[in-house]
Formats: sequence, structure tokens, C-alpha cells
Amino acid sequence: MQRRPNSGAAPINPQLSLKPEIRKKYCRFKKAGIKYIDYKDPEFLLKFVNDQGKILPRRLTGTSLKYQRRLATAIKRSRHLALLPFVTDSLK
Amino acid sequence: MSEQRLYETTYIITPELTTDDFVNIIEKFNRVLTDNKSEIVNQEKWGFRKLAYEINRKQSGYYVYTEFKGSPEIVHILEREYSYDERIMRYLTVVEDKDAAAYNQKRRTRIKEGNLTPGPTPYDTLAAKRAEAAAQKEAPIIETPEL
Repeated sequence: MQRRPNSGAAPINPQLSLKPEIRKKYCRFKKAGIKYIDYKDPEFLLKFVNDQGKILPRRLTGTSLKYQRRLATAIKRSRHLALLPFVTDSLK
Repeated sequence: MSEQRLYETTYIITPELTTDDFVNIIEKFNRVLTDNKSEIVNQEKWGFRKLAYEINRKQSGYYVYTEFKGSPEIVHILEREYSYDERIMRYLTVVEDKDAAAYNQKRRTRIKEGNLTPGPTPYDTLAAKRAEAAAQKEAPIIETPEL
């Protein structure tokens, strides 16, 4: 897929537009063979959450639907036990 | 009685109590389980840890995690006991399905072998770790002046 050229004047930094194509996304649960997502492991769940503590969409992480569903319940359980925040300003 | 299933339950006790109180509370809920014909498979006292957010104006709590085998009716009895006790800030009871049971089995053996400390990473160290990781991630971006 080709990107639409920068409309208007030449790109400010021509080298930046030569970035390699975006890597293909994959479901890391399928790849690693993880069958059960543990709500007791907030350190792992934190990878699927943004700075505000919101669950990242599938479209960004590449997680398959099956595991996105399980991930969501795990994160919600974790939040209930105050292992993860519901909302914050800075997880970083 | 109906079929026996595997459950895991976690509760958070208010921090402002004496050590004896914690022991009594844990014993009390264990008795609720054993009195109702269920068997405690595993119990972990995760202890005091900082909460990710305030509950009842408390910043921390004492976590107790229990795995037990019992009939489905017991969950209702147990959760009712939790709700009657004002010292319990939060509780969560979950059925362990096939995958979860396998996972927790593995977890238990890892703890027994001393490869894993029981209990999740506390929230405050989690935030610190994440900050460190973010700082490391940012570093190489600054180091590419050619672009």
C-alpha cells in the first residue's frame, strides 16, 4: 500500500517519509501459546493499557478477538481488586 | 450435592487492624469454607499492598487469596459473609475453568519451588518500573541525530 504524498510543499524532512513499511500485526497470545490471561498479574496486563489506564483496542495491539475478550475481563477483574487503576493521568 | 468445582477468591481487609484481627478474619472465612464442605486447595497471604486507587478512603489493604474446591452454592454463602463483614473492603470470587486451573497449578508449583513470590506486583512499584521502561525507550530516539 502506498502512502498519499504529503499535500502542499515538500516534506519538511524527506528522510522521515522513507520509513520502512509498518510491521504486520499478530496476536501475541496465539503466537506465544498463552491460553489463560491472569488477572493477578497487573505487570503483564499493563502492556495492553494506555497511559490513562484504558484498554488498548485490537486495532492497535493486533490481539485476536477471542483473546481480546479474555484480556478485557482480566483487566476488569484486576481493576476491581485495585491492582490496576480505573483512571489515572499518568501510568508512565 | 451438585458437582464440585474449583474457585479462587481474593479479599482485601482494611489495613487499620491489629495482627490478631487479620489472623481471626482469615480463620473466620476459612471456617466458612470448611463448614460448607469445601476444601481449601491453596491459600496465599499477599499482605499489605498499596491500592491502585482509594477504597473507603484507604490507600492500602491486606490481600488474602484462596483457592478452594466446592459446590457452586458455597460462592453465594461466602460472598454474603464478605458483605456482612465491614472490615472487608473488596472481594472477588472466580471459577477456574480448565485453562485457569492449569495455569494456577503451574503457578503453585513455581511458588513452591521459590521461583515466584506469591502475589501480584504492588501498584507503586509497577508505576516505577513503567517509568523506567519509558525512560529507556525514549533514550534511543534522542540518540539518532542523522535523521
